Amino acid sequence: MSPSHPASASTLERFSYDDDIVRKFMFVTLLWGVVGMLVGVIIAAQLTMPQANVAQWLSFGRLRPLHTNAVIFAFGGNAIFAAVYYSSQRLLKTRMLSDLLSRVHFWGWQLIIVGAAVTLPLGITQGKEYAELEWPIDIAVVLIWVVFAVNFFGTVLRRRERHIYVAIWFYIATVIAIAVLYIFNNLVMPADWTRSYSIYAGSQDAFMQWWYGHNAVAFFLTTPFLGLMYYFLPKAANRPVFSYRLSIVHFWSIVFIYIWAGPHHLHFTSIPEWASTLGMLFSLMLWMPSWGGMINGLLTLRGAWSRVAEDPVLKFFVVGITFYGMSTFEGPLLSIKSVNALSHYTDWTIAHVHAGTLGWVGFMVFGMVYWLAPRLFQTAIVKPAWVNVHFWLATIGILLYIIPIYAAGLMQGLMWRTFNADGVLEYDFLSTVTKLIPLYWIRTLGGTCYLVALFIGCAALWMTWLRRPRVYDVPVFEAPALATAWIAEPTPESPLPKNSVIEVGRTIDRFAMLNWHRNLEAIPLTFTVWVAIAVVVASLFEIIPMFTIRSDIPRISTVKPYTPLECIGRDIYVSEGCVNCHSQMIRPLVAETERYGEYSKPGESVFDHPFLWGSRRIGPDLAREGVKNPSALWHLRHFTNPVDTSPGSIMPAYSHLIEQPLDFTQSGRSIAALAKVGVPYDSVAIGGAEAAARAQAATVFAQLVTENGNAQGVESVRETKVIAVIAYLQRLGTDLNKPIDVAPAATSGGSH
Amino acid sequence: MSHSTHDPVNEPRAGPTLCQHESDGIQEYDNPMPLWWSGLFWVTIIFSVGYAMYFSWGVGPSSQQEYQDELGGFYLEQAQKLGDLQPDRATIDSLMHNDKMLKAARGLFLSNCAVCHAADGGGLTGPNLCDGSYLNIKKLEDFYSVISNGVVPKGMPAWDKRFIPAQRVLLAAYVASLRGTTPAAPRAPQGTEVPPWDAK
Repeated sequence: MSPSHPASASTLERFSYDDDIVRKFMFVTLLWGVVGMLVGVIIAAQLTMPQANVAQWLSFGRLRPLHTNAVIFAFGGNAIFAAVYYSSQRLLKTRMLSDLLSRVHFWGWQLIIVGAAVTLPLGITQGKEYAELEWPIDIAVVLIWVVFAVNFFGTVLRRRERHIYVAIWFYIATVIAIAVLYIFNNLVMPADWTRSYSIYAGSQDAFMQWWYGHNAVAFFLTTPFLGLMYYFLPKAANRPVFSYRLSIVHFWSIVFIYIWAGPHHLHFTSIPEWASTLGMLFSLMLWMPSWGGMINGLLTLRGAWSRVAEDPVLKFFVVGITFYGMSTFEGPLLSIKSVNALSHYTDWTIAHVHAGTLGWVGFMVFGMVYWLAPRLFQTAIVKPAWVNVHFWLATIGILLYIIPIYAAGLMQGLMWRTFNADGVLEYDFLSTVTKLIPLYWIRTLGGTCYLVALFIGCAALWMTWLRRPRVYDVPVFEAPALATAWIAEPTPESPLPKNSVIEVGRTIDRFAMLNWHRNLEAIPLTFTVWVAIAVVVASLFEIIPMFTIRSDIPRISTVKPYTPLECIGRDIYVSEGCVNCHSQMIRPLVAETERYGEYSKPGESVFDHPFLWGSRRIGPDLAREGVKNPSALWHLRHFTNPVDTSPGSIMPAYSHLIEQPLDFTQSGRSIAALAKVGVPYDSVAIGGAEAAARAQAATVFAQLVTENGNAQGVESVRETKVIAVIAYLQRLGTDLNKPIDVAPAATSGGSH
Repeated sequence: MSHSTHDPVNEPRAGPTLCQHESDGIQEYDNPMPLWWSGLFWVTIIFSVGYAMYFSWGVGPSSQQEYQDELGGFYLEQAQKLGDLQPDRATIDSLMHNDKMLKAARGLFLSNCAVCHAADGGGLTGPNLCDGSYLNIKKLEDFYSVISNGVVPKGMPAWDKRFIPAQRVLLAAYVASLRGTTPAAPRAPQGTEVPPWDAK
């Protein structure tokens, strides 16, 4: 490929683009999209009928992480790579750095996905949302991401275009930020090949998780898709981008502000109030930077609106960008503490997320795919009518999904806080769940529409692919090599009068003209360094105080580490994905403490590696389960068949916990690993872990027998997994043991 | 591009200027940022600074303070509504005949006790409360102490930290009133038969 003659500015170099890798990524985007969304429909159906949890590997708690990981990292990820590989080569006028690295990236990523698809149903998980993959897979993810980064930045360096276009800025932000986020949230201490413990505990782990979780939304589901939009939308519309200046300002403000917003996922929890406040305020400030992207998208279509009605690519883009605008308005709204008090733990969050993913991410991907297909397969799309069907059915699917789920979220949030005239909570928890089931049916229907629509689209693409030429035409392009010297564009003088007093004003004025940015675009490595600085500095502003202000997490002397048996129980709790439906975080809100007991204190989760506060209450909060419901027999019956104790419950039955033997030997490894991350177990505790676990199991079993009246019917569970889980549940929330402050005499009667 | 006046919707009115550069054929306009956009961006920034100062300098209440105030008001209201209920025989007996109070107690029972004792008191993992046989109750006043202190080894939690005394008295009366009712799926009697409450 590289020319043999000496390079000079005037010599044209000949090159072609690697579209084969784009075809590969596009194919798996659709494949994993179908798989991930199918799993989504299955778990949606499981919430309407618990019998649909047909096997332990296919229960909601294990499949939900598979759904999220598949749609985010497999569907979304491969789409991002397709977009990056297609557009970067063209925007930089060069082939990717290495065809080999491209293939290593492709196959490595697919192997990781297969690894996830196998391990998550097996219950191998780290227990943190969107960071479930166990440490060996995490290492593979990091290695493959490095391959991608080398390939991408190598391509940037050997470009034949001096200035990098805005799409490339967003890709740079993605590559850098995801690396930082992924590594630092996934730091764990392995106990063995399939189990590990986060090195952070409680409030700090929660903070790291949502610093990661929120910014995965930012840098995996937003920035790369904005980059995609900036390339494919003006291409498809054949219109210039609305505003170059706006793209500069909204890019940098997104990169800097997004990072701070993570703690808005933790309002009213055991994180310090200042973190929560920063999370809310930076979310509010993020509103306009996000809308900058929407404006630049929609206003780019000025002059092309007449074509939107006819071109399915533009239709997908317009609806996608509109959903982006809705979601990024709703995000700041949900980050307001008083709104969040209502929305948190409810389906409102689920609706918000799906408006963003089905609407924005999904539709941007589909728009891109339909634009790429005729170019990559070098033939017109067969059955363009089917593409239209895909668009309309998917749009209806989104509405059928989100409208009932918004309603479900609002309803449940309001029911949770309703007191009757006697000052008693009006609804017991279970009734707030069963009332939602009709809405869950409609949601399942909506998800099915979206999936069927994708099938129809895939069929049209399949038929198009069948019509591809025998050998793809590979056009050869010519461009001069990048000149080593380049002339920086001058910054115009400020029109303000020359006067030493207002020299600062003149400097600010020149800065605000943004012409300097054009020169920054010519030096991508410096540009990347600035992006990294923005991301890292914004992170450290919150991370450093979070880990250094000791008074934020006051120790409680009565809170002690879990016993070995409770650790095993906790491992099973993590493995079964209980955290996907049960929170362990009671917020300081009267309706909440009346329902669940005294609110959770930061000092109560200092030994929780990882934290298990949860983000959604499909089932009730369990932070004080040990206080509220110490009955071993109740738990045994509930695990055997939840509707026996809780008629109408949608929890799956956990018969395998009752049948599978308890592995007492794992407790030593667990305790040893936990000791390494700072839980105060000494060598005696580690050495005696197994014996201690056996002794406690005998105690729990004895309680079962006592409660049952005799050993009949419970004998078979003597040394099964359920014993450890019961021990863990009986411990939850019991350490605090602090009386509630009852009615302060007549001091402050004011209620807000 | 500003010459067409026939299609005002689809044609930029004021003829924005294009930037000099292009990338892979994509051009960009040199449009300024919309005024409302910059304005709202500044509003959110200024609001945030003000909000942060108001709450971090101790002027505004923290979430915990707000909660404590609200909880204080809530319990004050409860205590006023229930009055000063003593855990003695006379009080419990009179509450057992006060339908309005029993209705309030039923709410507490359903959301806290029904999980083990069933909504109608027929018993699930916890004992049947309707059959007149009891494990830990000898006389009417005992309900209060069992509710307050629990029977922890048997799975019954202590509720003294969850409810104010008046609420526990009310619950005692409600549970006592269940005696003699007919549950849908009664658990077999446990413990010993206790003489009726009105027996002297």
